[in-house]
Amino acid sequence: MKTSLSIYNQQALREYLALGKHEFDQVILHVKGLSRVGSISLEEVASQKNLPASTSLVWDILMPESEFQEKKQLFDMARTRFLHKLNWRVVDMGTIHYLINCSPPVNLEFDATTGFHNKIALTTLQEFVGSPLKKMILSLELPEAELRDIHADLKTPTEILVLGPIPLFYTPRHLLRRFDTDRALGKSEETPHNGFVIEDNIQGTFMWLPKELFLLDHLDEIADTGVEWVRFDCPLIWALEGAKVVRRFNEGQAAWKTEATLLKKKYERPTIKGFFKANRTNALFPKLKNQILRNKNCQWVADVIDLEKDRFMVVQLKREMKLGDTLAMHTPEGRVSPVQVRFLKNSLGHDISEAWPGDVAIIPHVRGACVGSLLGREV
Amino acid sequence: MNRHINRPELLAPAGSLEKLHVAVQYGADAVYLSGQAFGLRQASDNFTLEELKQGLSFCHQNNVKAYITLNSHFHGDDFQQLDSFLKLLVKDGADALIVSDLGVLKFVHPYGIPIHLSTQASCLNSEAARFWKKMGVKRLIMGREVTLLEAKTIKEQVGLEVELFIHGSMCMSYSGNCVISNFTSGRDSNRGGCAHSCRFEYSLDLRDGGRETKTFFMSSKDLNGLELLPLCLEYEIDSLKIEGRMRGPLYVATMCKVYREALDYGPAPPMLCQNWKARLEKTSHREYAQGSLLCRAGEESIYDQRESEENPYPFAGTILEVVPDQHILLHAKTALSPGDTIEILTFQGNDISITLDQLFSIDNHPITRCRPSSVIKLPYRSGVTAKMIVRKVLPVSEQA
Repeated sequence: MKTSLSIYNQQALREYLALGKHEFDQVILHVKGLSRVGSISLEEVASQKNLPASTSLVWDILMPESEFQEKKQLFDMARTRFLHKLNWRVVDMGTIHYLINCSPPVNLEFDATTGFHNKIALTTLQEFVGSPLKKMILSLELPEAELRDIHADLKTPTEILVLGPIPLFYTPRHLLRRFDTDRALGKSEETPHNGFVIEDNIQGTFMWLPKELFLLDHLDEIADTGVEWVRFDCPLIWALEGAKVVRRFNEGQAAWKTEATLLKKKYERPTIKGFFKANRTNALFPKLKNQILRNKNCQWVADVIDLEKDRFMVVQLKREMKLGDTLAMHTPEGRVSPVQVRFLKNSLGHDISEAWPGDVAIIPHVRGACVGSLLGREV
Repeated sequence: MNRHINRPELLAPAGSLEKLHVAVQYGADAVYLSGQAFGLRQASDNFTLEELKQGLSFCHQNNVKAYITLNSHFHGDDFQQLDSFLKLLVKDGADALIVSDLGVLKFVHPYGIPIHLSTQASCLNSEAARFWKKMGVKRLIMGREVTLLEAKTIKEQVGLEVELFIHGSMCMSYSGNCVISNFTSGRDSNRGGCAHSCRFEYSLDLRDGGRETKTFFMSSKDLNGLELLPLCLEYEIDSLKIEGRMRGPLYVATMCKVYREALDYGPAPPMLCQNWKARLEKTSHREYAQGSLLCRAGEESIYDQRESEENPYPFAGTILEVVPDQHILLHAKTALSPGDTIEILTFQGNDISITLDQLFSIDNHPITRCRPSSVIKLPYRSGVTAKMIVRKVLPVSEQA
């Protein structure tokens, strides 16, 4: 299993290079102007002579047309002057399209942190980009089983975050500027989470979950899914300890898990495992509306739209109804009662023998009926 | 009325079969709707398979197009039921599919239904447009951060149809890139379960000596592009979308009627514009802004207020039936009493204002106050037909 490290500012880059040896298989530099939260200048990158062989530059901002034209110029300048050998880590489909049409070709890594949750999407992109695609960064929302399924058809190496903040929100609007600040901690009475990290910079406003992702104690399961790379978005001091755990794991030392657990305990912030073991974020959907009357194998004949208890019900017809029909009434709570159409009247109070779709009719009241009930013929 | 032949399509939300009928009757050129799965509004009624068939048939009878949303971010298992759903859509003649996920796009392509790229894919620039064109997309529903001028440029450069949101609620985040709801409420916003975390009130610790403030800093004002319609015409924007599948029939009727009149009229005198604006004000909404349609939305687009449901013009119901010279049957959705004023939204032309003298139950008993969700009789009035939408005009003393 290979490791990558995200570096966001020049100070952190210098600290990393000062180590004198490369503790990670790849470093990912978040550059100023092209990345969401990075501040490393392209000149600083170009001036470093001892960057690791595998270095990737991040161009992960999303760009409306006018901004994109500006950023293309920035990229072109960087590429022609000094950075043509490096990989570029991108999100915007426009960036991908632009890079694969560059000459000479640009190696790229596709960051799908908040999307591309299925193998058809990933393999389609893999096929489209072809050989310049060097890596795919998979979504934080993919559980173990889905990761395994995805890798069955994927040729491109993949990476997931194993230690670091979880990004939640990205807008190009500046939401903190009116408070004369560029960082804040947020909480809301409407969520139990406390301490959302919010940052407003030149690219817009970003928010992260108060708890960070920690998956180092699941390295064996991650490796088993087919993921080859694990990434550290945390400060260097913690990433170094994490990389040590990965080395132990790669060497087959049983102690890796214990060390991972110890690291989790002493880590500077609270952590979660996110959706790695399960993603049930669609499980609540059936509760968002009444499911009882939806999609029943029943030919609905009418809606009950008003009633006078023990006297009559007012119904609006979806299908033809005849005097003497026997129907089943389904209430929103799920109760089912028989309905005998013993009388059938129109809105003038006249007796009629049949009514048609769209008509309003008056029929006998049924005990337990309520507005919103449906009358149907069982199929 | 000056009819503009090459005007943009007016695309309206149809959160249910009832609202689809409303949209069509009040002037939408096209509607967008969802089945019980695959869309981004799981809490909306949406359409059963039978309703879908009925809805598509009704649209086509009225020369209105129907686009089906399949714009959730699919996970692997979500594809299992897609084939049978697509076959049904082919059979029933869906006019387009609204898709955001590349995997879904690849999957649906062989079925031959035109594909519109959802705003959820955040297509923002011409290079991205070229990518999606190569993937088989016919129309781009541009990201909400795109200006009208940029949409025009992209259309000219890439040769795809472009669609823009013109009215309604706005995501603050880049669409498809917000997962607050997923991680904090356990509801996947990109699969239709958004908990609207951006509308919450937050307490911010501003980190400069304990300064703390309570704010709705992530909530966006609503979009209102009415005044920009002449520019939409000039830039030949293909389709203008009204947001709001969760909104009620009154909202759909008001939006469709006003925007249809405005689009048909073209550049209009100030008095007419004022009239349209005043009618849009009669629906409940957050403070309006023009989003990024003219220039990039900035701090002025933040709606830093608690949401309010108070509306001086609430939905009063739907006309069920009109028996000439006898009565009007109203399915009342709010309490009504003699003395109340209602406005009936005609499908075209001036609305009809009525002050209620008397109300009767369906079995002809005078009533002093009807309860919400009841059927009442009103005196006959010419010009009123079934399915018209009715709003109540609250007395000034009851208005907030």
